[in-house]
Amino acid sequence: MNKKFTNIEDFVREKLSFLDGTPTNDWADFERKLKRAVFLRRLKRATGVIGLMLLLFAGQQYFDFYTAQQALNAKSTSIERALNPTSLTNKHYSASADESFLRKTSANNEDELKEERRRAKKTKGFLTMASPSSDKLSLKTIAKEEASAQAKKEPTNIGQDEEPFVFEHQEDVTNISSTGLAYVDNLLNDYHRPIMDSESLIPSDSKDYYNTKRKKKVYISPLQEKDPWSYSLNIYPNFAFRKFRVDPNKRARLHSDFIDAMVNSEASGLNLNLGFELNKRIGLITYVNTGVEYIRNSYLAEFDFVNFRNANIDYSTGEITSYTMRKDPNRIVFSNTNSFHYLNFPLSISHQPWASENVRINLEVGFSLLYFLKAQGSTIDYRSLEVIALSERSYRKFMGSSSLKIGLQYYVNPKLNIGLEPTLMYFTNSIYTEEYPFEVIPYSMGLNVNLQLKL
Amino acid sequence: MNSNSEHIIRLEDLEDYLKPKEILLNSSEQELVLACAKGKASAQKRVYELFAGKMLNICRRYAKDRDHAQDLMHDGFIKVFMNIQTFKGQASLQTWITRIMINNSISAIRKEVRKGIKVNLEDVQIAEPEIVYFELEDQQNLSAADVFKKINDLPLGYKTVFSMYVLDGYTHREIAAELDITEGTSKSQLAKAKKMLARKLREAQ
Repeated sequence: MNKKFTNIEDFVREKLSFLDGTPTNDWADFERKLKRAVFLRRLKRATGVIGLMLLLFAGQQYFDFYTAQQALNAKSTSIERALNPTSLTNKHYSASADESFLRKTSANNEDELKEERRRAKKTKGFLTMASPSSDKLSLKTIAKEEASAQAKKEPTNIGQDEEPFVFEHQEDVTNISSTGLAYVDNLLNDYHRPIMDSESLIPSDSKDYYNTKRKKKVYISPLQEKDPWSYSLNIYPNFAFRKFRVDPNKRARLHSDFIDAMVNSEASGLNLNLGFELNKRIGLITYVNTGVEYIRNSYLAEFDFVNFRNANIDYSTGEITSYTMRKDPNRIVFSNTNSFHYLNFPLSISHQPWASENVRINLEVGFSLLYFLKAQGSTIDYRSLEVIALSERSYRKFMGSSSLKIGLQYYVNPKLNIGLEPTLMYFTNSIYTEEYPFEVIPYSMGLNVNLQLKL
Repeated sequence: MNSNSEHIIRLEDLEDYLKPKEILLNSSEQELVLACAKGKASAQKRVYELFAGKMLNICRRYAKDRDHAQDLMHDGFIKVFMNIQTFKGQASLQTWITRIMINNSISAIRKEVRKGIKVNLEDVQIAEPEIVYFELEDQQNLSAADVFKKINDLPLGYKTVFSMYVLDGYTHREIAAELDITEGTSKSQLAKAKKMLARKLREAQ
């Protein structure tokens, strides 16, 4: 008795529950893919760990160095405070005035007061009491200009006896607020501090050094170039990883026996970069960089797969329409080192703080335009499975990319430095044309080992 | 006594009597997972052989053809072995692997599915009722493979939503989130898929 279904969902579920998994015997293919994936992951992790360690090392260097700098600055500050004329004047004479004030308030001898009044009149009276009978003390400046002129005329008197005739009535001065002491400063505006012998103990160049540091607040190593424009030759090998996958829309252009072999083939490669770089320093440690680089990207094209069938290609569309099974499967083994050549025109901004006298951190963000020059070598055609020269394929001429670099540079001397830079790149397109049946995952991880020679 | 002793099967000889799959089913899944996490190729091979057939069928529901499905399955198994240390045993290993395969397949075809769905604007805007006239007898001449083929012949958008909803147990909200479409679109796609599949199955009878 047949079961009757009115619900298509139940029908499909029940039917497909009887669908056994078709056994696969492609473990060898899968194992190769898995090993490669594991290798790439380890390599990426190693790159990340190296980058992190570099950053930590740089951070440690930076911290140590700036701690030492701060200690030096603090020491310089304390020395300078001890010698600073402006700060010293106020405190010194405030204290003197206090002493004078205390002495005055403790004086009970009216004769002395009268004498003081007389002396005050002699100096035309800098300060007079506006209302001596009042309980509140109010001070008023009279003829400041005159006082200043007087002070100019008799500087040594003021400096020597430290009794600047400030207060007229001793009994009223007892409750004077500290603001009243401001007048003391007014009196001493034109005071010239005597030169102290201890000042000569500090070398003049260390004072200059201290002043320079305080203004910039950024350490600049003596190894940094003096000229804001600099030119350099760069040479660096770079190991980059890229990932390819089959474009589902172009599967018909690709021989099925070849897919796995191809995907694994071009995933990573060694670049050799040689470039001329022009740098303009736009801040203390910030640069705009441009130039031209020659890039040689080489990789090992290595295939080992079994060809079970021959493709029937419709050459008008370029697509495989069907396959004819071969009588005998054919194992294809191929190995060749291929290379792609480019000219690169980068434009980047970099911030390069000094971590120590020799070590410099490089944080760089930029864009570049790659111009494809030529391809050398041979490979297996993804449709016919025949060996073809790479130059027979068509390529796009330009490729754009943006990059982020975080690295360290060790300055051997002002002209030569060695750098280690983990780099992340994003490509706007690939050099392959529309016909190419693989799409490239646009990200690339790389590790630059850079040798820079300043010209 | 002698006759009894002749029938004793030692544990180490069990593998000679049973297929590897059966051995695995009886052995501890946790041990297998641990061995895979340590990167032991033999354990990975056993897991692969045990589940590859079923997983290939799952991937085929989302892929364009068998080769594509195989690629998806390989990618999925790479993710399985790369992340097997995160498997906590809250579900069975098969359920966990199945989920990874489905997620991996969906993310691989998401863009294409979205494009396919949005080409037809009426699909996006009109949510049809889910009741589809369907009456079919479970006849012998319509095999599981035939049904599977009919599902695979559906347009990509229909096929994906149908597989996710009917076979993999996603809700419309989950489908909408996974494929970045609206719930209405998901319902519409499902209704159209069922309608088309019913017609194809009736024709095939």
